[in-house]
Amino acid sequence: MPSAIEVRDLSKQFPGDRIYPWRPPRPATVALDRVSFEVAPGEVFALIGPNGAGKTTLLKILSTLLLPSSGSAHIRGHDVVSDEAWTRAQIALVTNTERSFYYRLSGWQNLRFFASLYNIAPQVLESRVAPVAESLGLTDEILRRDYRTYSTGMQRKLQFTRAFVLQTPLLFLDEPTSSLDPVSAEEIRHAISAECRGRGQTVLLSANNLLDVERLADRVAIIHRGRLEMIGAPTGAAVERTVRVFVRGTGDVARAAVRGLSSGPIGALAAEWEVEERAGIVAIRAETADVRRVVPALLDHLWREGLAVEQVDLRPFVLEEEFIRRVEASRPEPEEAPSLG
Amino acid sequence: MANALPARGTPTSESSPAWRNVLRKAYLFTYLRGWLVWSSYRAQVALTLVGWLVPVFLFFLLAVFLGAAGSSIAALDGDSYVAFFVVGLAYQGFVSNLVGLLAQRIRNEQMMGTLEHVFLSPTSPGAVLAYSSLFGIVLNVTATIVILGVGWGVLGVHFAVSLPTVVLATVLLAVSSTGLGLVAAAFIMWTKQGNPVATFFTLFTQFFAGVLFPVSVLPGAVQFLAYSVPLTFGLNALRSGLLQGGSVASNAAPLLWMAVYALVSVPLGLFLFHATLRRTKVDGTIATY
Repeated sequence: MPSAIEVRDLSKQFPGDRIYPWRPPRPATVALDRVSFEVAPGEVFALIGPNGAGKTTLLKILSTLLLPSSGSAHIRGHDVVSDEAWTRAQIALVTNTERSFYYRLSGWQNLRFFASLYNIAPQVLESRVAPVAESLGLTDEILRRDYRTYSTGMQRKLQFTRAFVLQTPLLFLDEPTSSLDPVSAEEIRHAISAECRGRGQTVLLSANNLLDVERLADRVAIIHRGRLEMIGAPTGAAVERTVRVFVRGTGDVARAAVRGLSSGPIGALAAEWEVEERAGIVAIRAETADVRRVVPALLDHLWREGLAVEQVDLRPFVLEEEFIRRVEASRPEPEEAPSLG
Repeated sequence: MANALPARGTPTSESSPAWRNVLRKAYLFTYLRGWLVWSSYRAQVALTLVGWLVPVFLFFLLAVFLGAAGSSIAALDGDSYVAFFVVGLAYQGFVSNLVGLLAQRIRNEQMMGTLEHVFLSPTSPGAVLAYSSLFGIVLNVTATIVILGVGWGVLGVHFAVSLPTVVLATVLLAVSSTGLGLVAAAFIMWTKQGNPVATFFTLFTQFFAGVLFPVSVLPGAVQFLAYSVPLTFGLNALRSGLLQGGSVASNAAPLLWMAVYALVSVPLGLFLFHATLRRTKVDGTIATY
């Protein structure tokens, strides 16, 4: 069975342009840089990253609304560029804006119109809308009102109703709970879980609200400046942990010790090793999915290298911390201010 | 994983045959997205009706003032000037609106934020454009009938109609104008603002296409320009078919020319529209306005 989504070395560069002939052209922008990942059928896969990281660009390429510059993207084994029409039938998209309906039509009329574009008959639509609208708190009275009278929350819920009733194999969500109050956001998360998990729908979720990711996603990818920085589980409660061992000694000795360890069999069990020295205390940090094997081996190794262990700290993987760490790490150093003297 | 979704094809078309889907879309595009949205702006409805009729009465009063209202004029093939400009205005509006229709529709969808969602659906962009033009065609046909009706009922224009000629000329004029409309739609996808193709076409046809005065009045070289647009041929055939009962055979030349325009302009318009759509997918500006 093919992957629900398969992305290989996907890059997107927006061409630069020149608005006024007497001004220099705006430079081209790299929105995606050789991104690769796969999403299994029925999986909820989240993309997180700071604003402008390339998340929406990726969703739009997969939705056939943008063409990639290079690389490939496949939906259920079909190329999104050469099999564009087929791809469109597989996807429903929820965008992060309320401007995606006709303001002068009612909620019902909007749903009828968009469902007709997917060849859904009215009686089928009615049978699908009723349970979805009920779970989202959209009553029949609300659905019969003009869309222009809807609150932001209602507008977002109507977007979800439209996406759910299409019952496409894939659902793309762009910041699904943005601009929603906590209660409405929780209703939306609950509805996504119930609708998509219940039908085995594959979900690609782009989010800035990490609560959405932790509640909904099976896996998460951190994307920053168009590059995929990491793919992992959204919460490490059962899977990943960060191990930090504080030792007394010098950073050079600790680094040499870690080098020795990370090049051996234990080293392969941890995704990353870092050494940080501050005020005579050296913190050795490892990210691992196998704490039981890594910690004793690490302590044994450090003891043999003559480093006195002061403290061992086991912390669950916290997505928000990881996100901030990755983004901060790739932030360029500030340029030195020119000397005035 | 309960209730697995179908593996291939449009996943949601299990209940309707294709022809019913086509009819449903035609109805929803025309009635819901066309009529209901348009008629909800009451001021726009009133101004549209006024816009249809004001030029008719304006030129009627001018003709009365100049003493040319009711008399038969040889240069107009024996028609009265009122009959001449009523047919001219009725079909010039029809054609101008058709040329600007798709561009206006795309711009509206861009501003409402619905364009991406419409183009994301399994209904192809070409089909979306075809459905989108339906309400405009209905509205334009209504405008044409209203203007011709006012000419007949209020201004005393005498019609001697050859229905086959009128229907054939109207259809050919509509198709060839839609081709130009596709060019205008491609232009608005590219430039985002303004509708230069439709604006230029409206001004050009008002002046050169024999709407308010016969082409023969123009200097010789300019007459050549007049026949670069299908409306000039269309008005020749329509005036003949509406006012003199001219048959299809007697209007074969202008009808043939309009068919040639249609055969060239529609594929050209479709090609330009798809090329521009592709360009917007490269630079990421489908929904930008």
